Amino acid sequence: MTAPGFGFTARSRPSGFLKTVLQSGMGRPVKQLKRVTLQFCDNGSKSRFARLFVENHLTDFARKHPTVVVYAMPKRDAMPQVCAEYLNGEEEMHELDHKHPDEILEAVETLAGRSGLPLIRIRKDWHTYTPSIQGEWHPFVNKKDYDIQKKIDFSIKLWDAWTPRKNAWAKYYRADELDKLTNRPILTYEEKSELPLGKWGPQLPPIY
Amino acid sequence: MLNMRRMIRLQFPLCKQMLASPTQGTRKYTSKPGNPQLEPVNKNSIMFARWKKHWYLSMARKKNIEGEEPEEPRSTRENWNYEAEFAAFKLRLQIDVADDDLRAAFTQPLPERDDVVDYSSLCTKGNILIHEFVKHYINLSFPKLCDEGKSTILDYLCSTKQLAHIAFNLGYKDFIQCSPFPPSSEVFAESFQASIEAIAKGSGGPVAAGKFILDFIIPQLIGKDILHDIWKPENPMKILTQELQNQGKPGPEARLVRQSGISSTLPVFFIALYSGKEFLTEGAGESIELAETDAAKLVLKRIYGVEPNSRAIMMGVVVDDEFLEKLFAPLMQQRQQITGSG
Repeated sequence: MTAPGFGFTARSRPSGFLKTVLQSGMGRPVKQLKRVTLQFCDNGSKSRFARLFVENHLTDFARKHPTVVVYAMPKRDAMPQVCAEYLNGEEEMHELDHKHPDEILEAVETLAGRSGLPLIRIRKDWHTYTPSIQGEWHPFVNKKDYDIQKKIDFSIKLWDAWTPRKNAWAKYYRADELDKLTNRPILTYEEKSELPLGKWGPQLPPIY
Repeated sequence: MLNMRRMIRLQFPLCKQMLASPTQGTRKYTSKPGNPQLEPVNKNSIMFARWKKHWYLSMARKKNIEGEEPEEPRSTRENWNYEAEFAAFKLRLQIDVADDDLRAAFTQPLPERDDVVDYSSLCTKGNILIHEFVKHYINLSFPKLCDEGKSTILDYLCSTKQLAHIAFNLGYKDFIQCSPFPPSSEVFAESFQASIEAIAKGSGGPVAAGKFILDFIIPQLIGKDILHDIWKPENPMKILTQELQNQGKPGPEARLVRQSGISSTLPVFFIALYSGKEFLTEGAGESIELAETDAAKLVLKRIYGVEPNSRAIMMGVVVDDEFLEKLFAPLMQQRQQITGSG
């Protein structure tokens, strides 16, 4: 019970799906980080690298991200910290004691690239509002009405591999997309023999 | 001396996160920083500084009596530079506005002062601009939809709740000056409308305002089923009969085609709709009425061209120049009139 990590497993952690703030990305891109505050001591040894970061890297960072307001706040005896504030009202703090300027820069850059949404376990690498185009299952899914009286055609038919077949998915095409099927470019025999993988297929390396 | 560090941290609070609840010690839950959401399930496993027990208890008692502390505007904190924030705001949203106009859009006048005309005029003009643009957009992108459906989409997109949500997530809260603080959703919506009018007054003209609306208000339609989530008609069967009448077809006829598990907890009924001898569609539901409304909604979606598998709504990458020309034609005319007269 007293162990700090008790019950701290992947299943018990909060999880969610990928999402963006305000459907961002559909319109113009908006950087979600609005403010970065760097606090450090002007004298302490723990803030040494933070001071180096302010001297060498901070202006470059501010120039690179013009939409982010950067504050550097030296305070006697303060721990070196960086506080990031996002457009959706979230705030996040990183401790920077004994961290190399490169590490600090990395931390700040990751903060700048984030959306401000909580870091939780993402269940899938993608998200969709319509997860199933087939619809919900019900007892009549895949139920086929067989016509018993229909006679089966047992005659043998020969097909060439290149003869166009009827597309089985034709009924799932939109009405205005059907011309993709009907007006398909038909290649001649010579073109096919020269390019076995099709006109737009990958080019095979020559065989010597 | 583990707690000295906490003491120091409490003396220099930079953000809210550093002051945890008084009954609980501040503690890093993970070895890696930047993950405040990952809290352990058993919070009793976190030990707080025992020598600070009385301080914690008194803080908890104070909170019990006085309640939560009121939220203060962001500008009261030490790290706040108005000019820098203002410039960053304009750069972030890629808008070219006169500073005075935008500042007027952010400041809500006090009730005693009646001489401030800027804010109210900006609000009303911006509201009209948004309504006209969104209406024109809906007419262009949902041509088959009936007037009632169009008006519901318009109401949905221009509602106070929607506009306030957008304004909050674009960082308007830091700049809005109003009393009492924090601003209500109405104040958010008003200031958002006013800011759009301010953009229309700027160098980009009404076209820039239109682009702003297209980028931020219209994408709220993503993931929404227009008939099921936005319109929510009470009696879709009635609307369907009217639509079929307008097309000159016989009215819909419902037939029970399949059913299963009627006596169970999960019954399924299938209702097919026919107009004359033409099969329209088949809808399923837990009761016959639900199945009928479902089927009617499916037919209506097909008639109005708002099926989930129909073409994507015109926004973002999908829009082409032809559509944009049509969309911005009335705004361009407005701009020409303004420049011609002035």
